Order: sequence, then C-alpha cells, then structure tokens
Amino acid sequence: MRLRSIAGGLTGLALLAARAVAADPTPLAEHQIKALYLFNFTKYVDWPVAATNAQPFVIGLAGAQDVKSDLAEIIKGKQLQGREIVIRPVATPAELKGCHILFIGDGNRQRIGELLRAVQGTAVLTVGEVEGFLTLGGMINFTNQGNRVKLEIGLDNVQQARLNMSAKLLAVANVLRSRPELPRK
Amino acid sequence: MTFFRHVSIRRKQTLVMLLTSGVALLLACAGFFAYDVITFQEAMRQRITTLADTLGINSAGALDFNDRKLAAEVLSALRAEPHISAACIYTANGGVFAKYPQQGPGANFTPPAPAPAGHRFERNRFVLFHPIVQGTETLGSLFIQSDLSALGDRLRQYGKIALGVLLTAMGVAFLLSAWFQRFISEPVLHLVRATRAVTQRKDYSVRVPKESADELGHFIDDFNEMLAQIQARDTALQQAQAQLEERVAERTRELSSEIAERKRVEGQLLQAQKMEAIGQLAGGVAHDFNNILAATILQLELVQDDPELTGRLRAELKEVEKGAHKAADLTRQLLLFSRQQIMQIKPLDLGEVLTDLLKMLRRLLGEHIEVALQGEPHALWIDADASMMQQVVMNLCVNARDAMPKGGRLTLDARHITLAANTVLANTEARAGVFIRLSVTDTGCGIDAATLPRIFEPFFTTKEIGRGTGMGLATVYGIIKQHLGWIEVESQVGVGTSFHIYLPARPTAPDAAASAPLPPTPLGQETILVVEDDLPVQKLVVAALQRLGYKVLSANDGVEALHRWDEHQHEVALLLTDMVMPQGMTGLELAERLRQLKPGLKVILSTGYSQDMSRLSALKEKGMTLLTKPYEIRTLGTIVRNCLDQA
Repeated sequence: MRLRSIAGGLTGLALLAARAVAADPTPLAEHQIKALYLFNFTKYVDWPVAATNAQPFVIGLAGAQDVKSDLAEIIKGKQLQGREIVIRPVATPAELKGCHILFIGDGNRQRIGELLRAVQGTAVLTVGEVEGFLTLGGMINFTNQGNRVKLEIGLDNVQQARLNMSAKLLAVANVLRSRPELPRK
Repeated sequence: MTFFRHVSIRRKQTLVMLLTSGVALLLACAGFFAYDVITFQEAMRQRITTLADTLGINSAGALDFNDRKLAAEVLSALRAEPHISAACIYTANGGVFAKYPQQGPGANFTPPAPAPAGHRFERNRFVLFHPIVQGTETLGSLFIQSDLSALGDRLRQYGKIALGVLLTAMGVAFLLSAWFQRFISEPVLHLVRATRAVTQRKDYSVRVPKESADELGHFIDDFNEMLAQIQARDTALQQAQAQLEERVAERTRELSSEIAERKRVEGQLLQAQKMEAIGQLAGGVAHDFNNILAATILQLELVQDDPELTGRLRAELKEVEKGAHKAADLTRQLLLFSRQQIMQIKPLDLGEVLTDLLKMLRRLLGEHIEVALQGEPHALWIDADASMMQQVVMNLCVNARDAMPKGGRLTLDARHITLAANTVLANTEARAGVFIRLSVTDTGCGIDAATLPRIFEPFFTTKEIGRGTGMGLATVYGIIKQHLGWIEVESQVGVGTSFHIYLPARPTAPDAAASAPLPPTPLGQETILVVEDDLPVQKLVVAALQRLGYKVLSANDGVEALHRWDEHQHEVALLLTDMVMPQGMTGLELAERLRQLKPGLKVILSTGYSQDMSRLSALKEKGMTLLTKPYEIRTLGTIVRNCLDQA
C-alpha cells in the first residue's frame, strides 16, 4: 500500500517535470525552414559517383536571396562526406556547372524552364517553390499548407536524373509521378 | 542460542542440516534470481535499445522535415510490443515531437523532460533515453518506457518454483538427516546412557557398543577401556576390602581365642597354685604326724615285747597299734599327695604292671563291670616306683567302679604318645616329648563342671561319709606329679569320664642287671655322728646303724653336735643330720661349719620336705648326700656305705 502511494507520488512528480519542459520553442520562419530542408536533402539523396568526384559540394541558388543567408548559416563549419559545402548564386545556365543542388526561388520564376532544361539529364537535384514546378521538370517543390512547409517530389524527374532518393525523404513528401502511384503504407 | 543449547543432539543435528541445506538453497535461489534479473534486464535493455535505434532511423526523416504525423506513425509501430507502455520523440532542441500511444488508456501520458542518453530500471518500469542520429548529426532523442510486470511475473513464478524446491529439499534433508544422524547421535546416545548407568548405578560393567571405526569408534573403544580399568580397580578394591575385613575378623577370633586361652591358663595356674598350697600344708602336717606315728608304732612294738604284759592289755595295744597303722597309712597317702614319699625309682614296664593287676582288678571291681585292656601290651617303659604305679591304677579303678554303681565298662589303655610343641598348649602342665599315656575310661555318671576343678584336693569327696577317705585322687595326683607327669580329665555327665595320665617315656629298655635282685645291705665300722631333734627317730636310727656295725655318736641339735665334734672329731667319718632343727642352726649350716673344721667330712642330710629336694643338685655339688624321710633301714645302710666309699 505504502509502496503504491510512493509510486504514485513519483509518477506525479515526473508529470510535473514533463509539463515544465514540454513547451515548443519559437517556430522557425519559412525561409529558415527552406534553408534547413535544402541542407537536409543532402542526407537523403545519393549523387552518382562521377558527379561527386568534383570538389566541393555545390548548392546553387537561383533567385533565392532570402534563403541564402540562412543556408550559409546552416552549412557553416559543416562538411558532406569530407567535402566542403559551397553556396553558389546562379543566374545563367553557364553557372550551373558543378552544382549538385539547384534551388530556384520564387523571384526567378521566369527562368525556371530555362534553368531546368539546362540541367536536364545531369545529376542535379532541382528544388523549387512554385506551383507547377514539378511539371516543368523539377524534382522537389516546397508547398505551403497552412503555415507549414510541405514537400512535393516528382519521382520520375528524380529517376531520370539518376539520383537515388531515400525512402525516408519520400515518406515525408507528397510524391507525384506519371506512373500510377503505389498505395502508401 | 540459549534455546539451542538445551536442544538434544539429535534435534541439533537435524536443525543444523536443515539450516545448512536451507541457507545453501536460498543462496543458490538468490543467485539464480539475481542472474535471471540481470539477464532479463540486459536482454530488455538490448532489445529496447535496438528498438530505439530502429525507431530513430525510421523517424529521422520525420524530424528532418518536421513531419509529426509520420513520427507518430513510426511510434505506433510499438503496438507490436505490448510491454512498452509509453514512448516519445524529442526534437534536437528538446521539444516533444511525437508521442505514443495516442489512443487508449495510456494516451494521457505526459512525456518527461528529455535526458541524456541512458537507461534505468525503476521499480516497475524500464526507462530509456536514446539519441536519434543521422550520420554525425543528432536530430533528436527518443524516450521509451517499458512495463516490468513481465519481469515481476517471471520472478513470482520463479519464487513459487524456488519455494517448492526449497520445501522439497528441506524435506529430503530432514529425511536424510534422520537417516544419517544415527551414525553420530546413536553412538553419542549410547555413551550418554552408559555414562548415566555409571554415575547413577555405579555400574562399571556396562559397555558401549561400537558401531563405527571413526573418531567416535576410537572414543568408544577408549571409553570402554577406561570403564574396564575402573571396574578392575573397583573389583581389586572390593577384594582388598574383603581381605581386610577377613583379616580383622580373623585377628578378632585369634584375639578372643587368645583371651579365652589366657583365662583358661590363668585358671589352670590358679588351680596348680592351689594344689601346691594344699600340698605344702598337707606335707607339713603329714611330716610331723609321720614322725609322731613312727615313734608311736616303734614304742608300741617295744611295749608289746614286754613279757609282763597281760593278754587283755596286749589285745588293746594291738588295737591301738592298728589305729596307729591306719593313721600312718593316711599320713603316707598325704605324703604321697604332697610328693614327699620316698620313691623307689626303677625302670618299669607299665604294660606289665597293668597285665599283672588285671586279674586282681576284675575280682576287686565285681562282675557287673566289664574291664578291657587296650593299647600296647608291652615295652611301655617308664622310670617309676612300681608300688606307686599300682596304687595309681587301683585308685582310678576304684573311683571308676564307684561312678558305675549299676555296672558298665572300664577301659584301660596305655600307649606311647608323642606330643609336639604346638599341641601341648591346652594344658599348662603338658610339655613336648615322648610319653606313655595311660587312659582309664568309665561309662559312669560323669563329673559336673563345678566339681571337676576340685577332684584332686585331699579329703574332697562326693561319696557319702565313711565310704571314701577323699584321698584317692589326691594320692594319684601327688604320685604323678612326683613322677614328673600330669593328668588330664575328660568328663561328660551321664556319659562317662576319662583320666589320661601322661608319664615321661623311658627312651630305652633297662638292661637285665638293673632288675636283678637287691644285694645285701652293706656293713661298716666307721664312726657316724647322728643329729636328730626327734628323739624316737634318733633312737631308731642309732639302733639301726649300730646293728650294721657302725660306731654311733648322737646329738639332739646343732649346738650339741658341735660339743660331740669337739670330743670325737678325729673319729667322726660321717655326719648324718636332719635338715630342720631347733636352736637356730639348720643341718646344712652345721654341715658347712664342720666341713670348715674337717674339709673331707662326709655329710648326709635327711629331710621330710620335698622342697628341700630342690636343693639336691646344690648339695651334690658340695659333695653332700640327701636322704628323704621316711626311709627303710636298708636304704639308710646303702646310702651311708656309698657315701663313705666316695672318694
């Protein structure tokens, strides 16, 4: 009896302690989340060996000035499989050479088709934040649902580029494909 | 512990065995318990850690891309593990990202604050914090709480089994100890019983059965050996005690018989002293009487020779003479008793004496008394006076006859008998040596114990007045004493009496010459000085000596004798003097005085007292001869002649 009451007391204390620390920290801004996601993509995507030989790992940003500083903040001091991570502003297709990830921002909407065509068939993960980005040949698109940032993945485009994308990434995204979609688990 | 001290060995052993086995089993069970708990916990930790790894990997994407729904889905996979009661995923900055379960009874679970990686077992749950790592980057962490009721169940199950095993083992241990304890407790109990028998019953004959050859067996052997030794010692002690008691009893018997013996000897001594005193008195009286009677009879003879005597007076004098002879006879008997009668000692065959007397005895005793002669018929040699021996036999036989008025049997038995030194203690008079024993046994009325000590006293008689003189046995006593023998009397009232007379045996038979007829009385012409205070005796002696041819001078006492000596000293060849004389000079003093005057003078001392005979040897040394009164003229003549002829 006594033991049970002591146990009860302990449980109560644990509950109080839990309540004290359970509050969520301040939510991140949209551009911060997108910068974080851009970096996180590197963990779930495998680039072909030929492409990775080139040093360093380059993240190209086309028309995405709001993300740039955040991303720079995230990658500071970080390496990817021993390679330096470099942020490269991209304005023209000529500047795409050596990029592993290309983020085409909302402000560069007119040049999406041009840029996507320039990297078509190469192992460059293309990320956008415009509706219809996937149909233009893009691979991952940020969408807003409520105030949350969600992902859309065009798997056909990913596979065409011979990029291997982890199922974990697929699991958190809305995967669109031309072939009939397999029912999700 | 005090309780344990009073418990019996048997119980102690059982208790020890049970306690030992119980403790050992408990320890073993505890060990298994601990091992099981540790193994269980380790297994649980590994499984849940693996689970946490899997969950972490699966939820990495969800964390990276802030997909709470996906994370919750990942966690919901925990449904397959019913023991996991709660779980949650934290983001890298500590916020709760997802939790499990979302429905059901545990849904209101509040996640704890995130903690560093690690695990702990609490009272009824296991708690694990596990980091979620992507490459080198920590994405967040995972909390899993597992219910430990399975372990509890398991342990309860184990407890039941352990309890069962414990009880069974204790039961078996109890049975085993009951079986095995007899190897230890049985010998100990045997020992206890034996010790109790020894201490309570003093029974040292008990032995403890030996049932084993271990230390207890050796101990029991030694214990038995110890008992045997004690028993032996005890027996020896008892024997010694018995011996001691026996010796004490023996010594007591010896002492009491010694005391009785001493009393008897004292009595005999008293009796002997009494007889001696009576003898002296009787001797004194008889001596004087004898002299008076001798003179009286001599005078009567002389008077009767007077031719002028008338016939009537002659007849009356004859009567007087008869009376005097009776008195003389009595006196003689008294003298015999007092051992003052002169003996004619010569070798004598007592067998012959008895044979000669037998015919006369049969006539004397009468036909109603059967007389038997037993023992050795001949060669029973003694040195004795024949007439005295005849008197002894006659007196005893007459006494026996008087004891058997209605007839009976009289047995005379004479034989050699050798007395050893240790057999003569019974009688103070007895001594060791070879003796002739004459036993006179009758079947008469017997003598009672009160009378027995007095029978040898003179004038003591149990016969009616006038029948006996009371001198018969007294005479026998005196004669035997004078012959250096003694008398023992056995008597039983109504059965009979035995007189046993012991006389020293003569070692050899006499040669024929000794028993030859006496030679004629020798004559002589020498001058003899006779000193005798008793005038009638003096006259008789003087007359007798003159008849033998001697020249005789006479004196009444010592003083007169000295006068005679002065007158005729050159003529006197021999002095014959009485020992006891008036005028204060004894015969011996006179003799010694005259010897000084004439050293070679022959001396004969005459005496009526036996006491004087004890001086015989002293007199012999001085070359003097003793003559015992009364004596015959023939004896006198022989002694005088022998004395004169001595060198």
